[in-house]
Amino acid sequence: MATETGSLHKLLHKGEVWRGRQAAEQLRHRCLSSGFPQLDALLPGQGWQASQLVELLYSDEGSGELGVLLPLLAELSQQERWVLWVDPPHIPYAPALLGAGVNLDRVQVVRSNSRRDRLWCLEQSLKSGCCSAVLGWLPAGQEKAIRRLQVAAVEGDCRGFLFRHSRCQSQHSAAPCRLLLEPHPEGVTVSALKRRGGWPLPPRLIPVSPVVSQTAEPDAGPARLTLVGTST
Amino acid sequence: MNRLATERESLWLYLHFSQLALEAQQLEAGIAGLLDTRGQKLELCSYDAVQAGLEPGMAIATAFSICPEVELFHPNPERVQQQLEALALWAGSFSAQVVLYPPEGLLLEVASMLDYFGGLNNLWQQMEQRLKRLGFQVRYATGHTPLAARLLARAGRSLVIEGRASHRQVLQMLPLSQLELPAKQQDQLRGMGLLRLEQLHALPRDAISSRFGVKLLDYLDRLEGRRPDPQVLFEPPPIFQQFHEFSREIEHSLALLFPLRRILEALAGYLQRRELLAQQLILTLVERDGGHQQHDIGHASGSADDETWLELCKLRLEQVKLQQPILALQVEVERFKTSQQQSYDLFDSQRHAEDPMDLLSRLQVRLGEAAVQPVTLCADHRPEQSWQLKQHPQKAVDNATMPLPKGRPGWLLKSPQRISQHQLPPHIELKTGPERISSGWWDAQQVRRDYYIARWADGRHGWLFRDAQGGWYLHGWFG
Repeated sequence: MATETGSLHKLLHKGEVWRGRQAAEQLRHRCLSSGFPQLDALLPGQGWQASQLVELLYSDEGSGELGVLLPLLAELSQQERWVLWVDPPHIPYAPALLGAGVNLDRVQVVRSNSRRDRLWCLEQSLKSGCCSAVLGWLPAGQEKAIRRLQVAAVEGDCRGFLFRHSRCQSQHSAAPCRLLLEPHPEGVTVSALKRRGGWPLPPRLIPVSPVVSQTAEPDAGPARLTLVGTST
Repeated sequence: MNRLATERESLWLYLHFSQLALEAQQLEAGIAGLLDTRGQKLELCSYDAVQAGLEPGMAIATAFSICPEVELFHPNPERVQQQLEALALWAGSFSAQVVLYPPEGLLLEVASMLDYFGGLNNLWQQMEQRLKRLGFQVRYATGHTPLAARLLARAGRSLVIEGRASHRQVLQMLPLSQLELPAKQQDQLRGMGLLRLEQLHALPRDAISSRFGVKLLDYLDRLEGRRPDPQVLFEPPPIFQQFHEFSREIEHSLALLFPLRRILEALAGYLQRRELLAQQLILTLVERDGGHQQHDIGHASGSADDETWLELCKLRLEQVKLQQPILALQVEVERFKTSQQQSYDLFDSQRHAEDPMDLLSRLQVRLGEAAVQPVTLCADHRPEQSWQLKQHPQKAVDNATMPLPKGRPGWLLKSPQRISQHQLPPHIELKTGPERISSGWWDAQQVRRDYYIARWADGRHGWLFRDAQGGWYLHGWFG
């Protein structure tokens, strides 16, 4: 008996049992691997779920916030739909994206002028059905907005990623999945603060490091280069 | 295909916009009435006005005492003609052969469109849906001849059927008073006890022509299809330009959407008929003091869809604060593009996700043209030059093989950030490097830098360089 409850707990704990309308099988079908087995193990359905809003919390850029997503973006950018970046804090650097296999033809960067426009833009893009992923940087105190964005993500069958400061972790959020990223000398540690179909999980080390992009093959991926100006 | 076309019976659809003289002037549904030419009595009443107790023929004073908020309009035949022509453009979505019957009728040839729409019922369903959106009251009927369709529609038959025989059957019961005959002839018919068309049909042709004249016989022959009845087709103008002068001043920009919708519906029909997509639309608002406000609204890949254009216009108008009331608006289409059929099929009811370009256009209309940009790679060793956000990509060199630099960070700072002079702070530990990047002697932005990957004490990795003067700068983060 004890072992039975033990294994049941283990299953629930792993997030492989979805106690809702959706069966676990179906869930997994709609998931894409993150490219990191350690991270997949944290995510219900063993990967990034479709039509879901994920909150990524970190304190400063350089905490692995791009690294954990690049394999997914590389895969999604092979689709017809856009991968939209809304108000990223710095310039998404083309050589690094290409090196990770991202198809730049499908990437668009949007700069909004105000907080209102940013939310409008996120909602429009998420629900349009024309984006496979929408990445947005949101300041603190936007709980109501997050609920709307989750609804929009479902409507547009889009993966939404909200990047927020780690001090937002104590705030309530409607995002079904919340991950806290912390830099680590060998990569990044990810803790699941909230995940659908499973309990919060302690931190795990994901080996995202600059070395990854260093060893990437230059002509891997469907990169198309644009030549502008002259070069030596 | 040819055989089918020749065998196909002709079929016409007549639309009688019974309230057009009033509706062409109204800006939104409401209690409204149209005055007669002498300005003393109500000639037409809107649906809401009838509900409020008003009726045609009522004197102004009575109307005001029943309903003080009624909005009254004077007849404006010019405006009505404009609106009828706009409707003829709109009808281009449904038929390539449209005939104007001023002041308030449109005749459409539909037999040749049945295959395209998958049957008469489908065609009508789509048309009815869009008529509802336009907000015009309409009487309609099909006919095997133009005249039959017109008479049945004006009689309010709401008939959508196919086939000569079935139309003839319906016509039999048509009261003779519905035929457009001189009053004298109507009296004559009534005097003989003839009330319905079937009674007239029962008379021999000779008797009809001797008693009522050849003209009536000719009229009946056109009605029945025994005699050809050539129609003068409406020719859409070479450019699309629609001007709408309001009967009252508009003070809130979103109130422009209702008249705009009607214009954009006309645009959709115009584009559909010519197999074009509009890429840029110029919306001009005429202000009270005679000034103009012009808004250029673009669509990246071009669209013929009125909903798409309305959404774009709405986004733009939401941002417009009117300094002065608006008297009129004009829509002009400047840039066209030929449409590639299929993907932009207006009548595809299964239209799911929007066109990916629609989204970008909407974002650009609200946020500005430069707000949405792709990321591209440029062949230049200097970090600042090797990425670019570009709006109009220059000709991409396909399969260009430039070795992709290794060890580049995901984030590039907009400009390098000074860390310190000569000495690195202790919390930053150099991991790899230096990688010397020096180029740019051919233009003004010459650089000579030694780049390093360094680890911060908190575990993050940054991309640093040291310039020729020995200063340390942060240039990116390995996100």
